Amino acid sequence: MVIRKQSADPQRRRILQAALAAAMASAVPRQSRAATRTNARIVIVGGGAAGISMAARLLALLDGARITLIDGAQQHIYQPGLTLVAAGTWAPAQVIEPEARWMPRGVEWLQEYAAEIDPVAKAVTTAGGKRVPYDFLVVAPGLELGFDQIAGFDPKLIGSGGLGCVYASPEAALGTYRMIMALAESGGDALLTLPHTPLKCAGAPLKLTFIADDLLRRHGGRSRSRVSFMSPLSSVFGVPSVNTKVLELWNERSIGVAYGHRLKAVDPGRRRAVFATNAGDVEQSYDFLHVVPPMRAPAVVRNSPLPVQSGPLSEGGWLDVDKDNLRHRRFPEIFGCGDINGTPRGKTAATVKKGGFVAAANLAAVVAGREPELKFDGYTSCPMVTSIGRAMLIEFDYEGRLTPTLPGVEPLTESWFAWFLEERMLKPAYFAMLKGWT
Amino acid sequence: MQGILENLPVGLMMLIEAWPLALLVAGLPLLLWILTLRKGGWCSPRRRLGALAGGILGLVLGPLLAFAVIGGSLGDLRYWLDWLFLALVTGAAATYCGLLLYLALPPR
Repeated sequence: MVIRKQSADPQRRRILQAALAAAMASAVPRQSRAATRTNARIVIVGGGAAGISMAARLLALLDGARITLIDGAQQHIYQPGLTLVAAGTWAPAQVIEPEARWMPRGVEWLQEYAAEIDPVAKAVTTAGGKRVPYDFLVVAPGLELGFDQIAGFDPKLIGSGGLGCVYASPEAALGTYRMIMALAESGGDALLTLPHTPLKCAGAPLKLTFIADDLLRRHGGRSRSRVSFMSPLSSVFGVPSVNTKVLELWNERSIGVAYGHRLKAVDPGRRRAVFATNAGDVEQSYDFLHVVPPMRAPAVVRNSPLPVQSGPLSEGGWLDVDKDNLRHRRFPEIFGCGDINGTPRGKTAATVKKGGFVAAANLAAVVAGREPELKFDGYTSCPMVTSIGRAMLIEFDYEGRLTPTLPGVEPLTESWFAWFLEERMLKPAYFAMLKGWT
Repeated sequence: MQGILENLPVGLMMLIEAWPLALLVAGLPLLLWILTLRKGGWCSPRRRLGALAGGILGLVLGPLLAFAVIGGSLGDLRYWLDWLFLALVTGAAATYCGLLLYLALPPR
């Protein structure tokens, strides 16, 4: 018997080799500029999206910098996914990541919370009493939900008695979904609120309103329910064109809007909410209440010399940064990134992506002895879910101008494609940002 | 265009995050290709028929899978970009299924 040995087709081998080489080349993220050599001590307060992505970017931009990140959280919450949990589309586990997984190599992670910032002595003190001196500081602790500013409300009640809040935690988002589904069964009054303060992802309360309406329709409870959005302002969204579009869609879907209503107190036992209005307090009963609490800077910033000193942003203790270069106005070795910044708009992951790029580049320029070079236009993005399966990809800047980045995507048009971006692509985009790739 | 270029690393992250699925999708035709290395017969009638059947199967499975994985339904397609996207997904599914059946069938 003759066995003829056949070798693999050489053309196939060449194709395989080329494919492997291309895959390996694309797997290595490229650095856009040469790193600055330094031994500066850089401290980052906060390990959320802003803190981690800043650490990754600074590692790439500064060669030899000693970067310390201070955050005691062991879990990293992918917050843009919370509305999808509240829509019943994702499980809470899909938005929870181990913090260690995303901590960049080369960063010293101090697993404690920052308790005090002394910008004069240039040191951060942790809750455990450890003093960490710095040459440059990045302030990125996120923001704080002010549930204590709503009398009678306890965040532990979320997910029971008709109370929901998508912002509080993944479990709370799931609880919110359960409360909407309970309403779909029983029917009744749904009240969805908005705070009077700056808030993270200002589109989330609106998305929740769309989602609640959609879930009620899908599960047969809409005809027995009344859905109302309670705004303390004279609009529901800060960008006029988006505000108009949302109101148009709500009008089509019979969602009512009450302006000048600020949630002041809740009586969970009687299921009644109290709203402060120009005409005095108004009490309303609810079967589902989506609570969006006032938001403020965390105490570590609020109680330091770093907040905005005057004007409307001084109320929440927001970081006093120049909105263009994201450098602190009074302490030039301090930069801010993310929700903490006292800027006109934008407390979203998209703001962290673009603003973080600017803050890191400007900090690197200052470390190299130059002045900040890049200017941030306030870019932010909000994939506005208008029902499960549809969304509008809204992007805008400080001035409220719509700034679409993807060709062919109409910002004020509902589309399945925008839903795909929200549901499938935003999370990898977020992780790519944490790595400093985008 | 800049938006697309800026977001290219997102594709890489999608592959990393869903690596078992990406490996399966990429590996299956490769495995079939390797298994049929010695068989020759690139364009036999049987394989051409297999590719056609696979393509038709992909045309049906593509949209079904897309809605199952991404969510939504035909009623959510209201915009030319949605239809283009669905067409791309369907085309990719048809090509993939066609390729799988082409490779899976013996040449003679």
